[in-house]
Amino acid sequence: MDILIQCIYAFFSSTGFSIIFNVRKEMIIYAAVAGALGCLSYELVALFSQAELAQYFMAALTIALFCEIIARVKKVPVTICLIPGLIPFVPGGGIYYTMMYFINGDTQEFLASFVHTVSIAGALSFGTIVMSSFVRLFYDFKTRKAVSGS
Amino acid sequence: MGYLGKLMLENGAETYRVEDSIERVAMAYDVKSADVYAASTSITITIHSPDDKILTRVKRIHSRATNLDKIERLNRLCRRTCEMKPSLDVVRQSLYGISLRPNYSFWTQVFGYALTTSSFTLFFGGNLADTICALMIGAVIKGVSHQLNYLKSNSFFSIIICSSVIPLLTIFFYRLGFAHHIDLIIIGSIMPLVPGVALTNSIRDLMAGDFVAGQARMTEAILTATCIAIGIGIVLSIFI
Repeated sequence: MDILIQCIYAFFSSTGFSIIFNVRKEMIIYAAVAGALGCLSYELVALFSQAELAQYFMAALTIALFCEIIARVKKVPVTICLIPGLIPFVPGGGIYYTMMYFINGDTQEFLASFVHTVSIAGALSFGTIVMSSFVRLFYDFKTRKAVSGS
Repeated sequence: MGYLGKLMLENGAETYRVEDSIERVAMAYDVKSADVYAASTSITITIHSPDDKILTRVKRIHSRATNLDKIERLNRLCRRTCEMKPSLDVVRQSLYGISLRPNYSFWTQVFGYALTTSSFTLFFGGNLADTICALMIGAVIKGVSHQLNYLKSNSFFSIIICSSVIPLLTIFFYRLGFAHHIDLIIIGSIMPLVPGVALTNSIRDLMAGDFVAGQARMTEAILTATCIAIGIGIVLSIFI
């Protein structure tokens, strides 16, 4: 139940971001669904794994897959729903705590949380890159097969 | 063509998309070859024209924002141009039309900010009172940043101002006994300012091999994050 509620929150935060980034009205719903799906996979991975980076990676993979499909179907750039969808996972809390440790002069904790924040951002973008490369490979393969088949 | 690229970059398209689009459009008009180099602050285009002349153009980019609607329209324009090859005047006209497209109205954007900050506070585990505080803070941030934009202030300066407003209001609500979790409200409220797009785009650029553009965006992201930290840090260290 908690998982579903988290997903609903993610849905609304992606909606808010779509408005901030001026996404066209008809596309907002897809961006919001992308955020919710990402959250769902994040929580599902959390059920049987403690690795936080793996959760972020899986969330990014899911969002990217969904966005690639939407982009192909609706003929729009992938970024349109990828950016608002990915936003709920951007480590805002990480940045905040990093800064708090810095102000308090706690260098050890500051470095730890800095590295943590950067690695989350890395996991997110790596997830999207892997998925978009996969989709492109698959797509190329399909078209090549269609060409040689005809 | 330079204008197309400029518009795309200014509205937050990825580097490879800009380079690819300009190249395709150029090729659609029968040039022999087209080389495009885009970084986040300038675009250089060199065209080998059909009558064997080499033409180069540099476009400087000053402002950067994220407007996904414009990117989508520019992308569609590109596709159409490559397919139908309309006259240059037609393309210029539609580019101009896209550059003038309105954003969402001010109050819709206020609603967007409020929705974002409040749902993030919920997302990170805040309770109802925290959420209402974040909602109001989100609306105020939009008002402040809109005003600063109107005064044409430096974007980093306006981020510092916005992010110092957040803890001020949060502490105000906390002293009133209304808010419960200062940290959750602040984390939720800085989300609209956080350089998420710059951070993820920069790592994408780096992995795609556009090292200069990636580094530039990374610098932008780090600078923005530092500004947020300065804004919040000053206020928090005074009041706590």
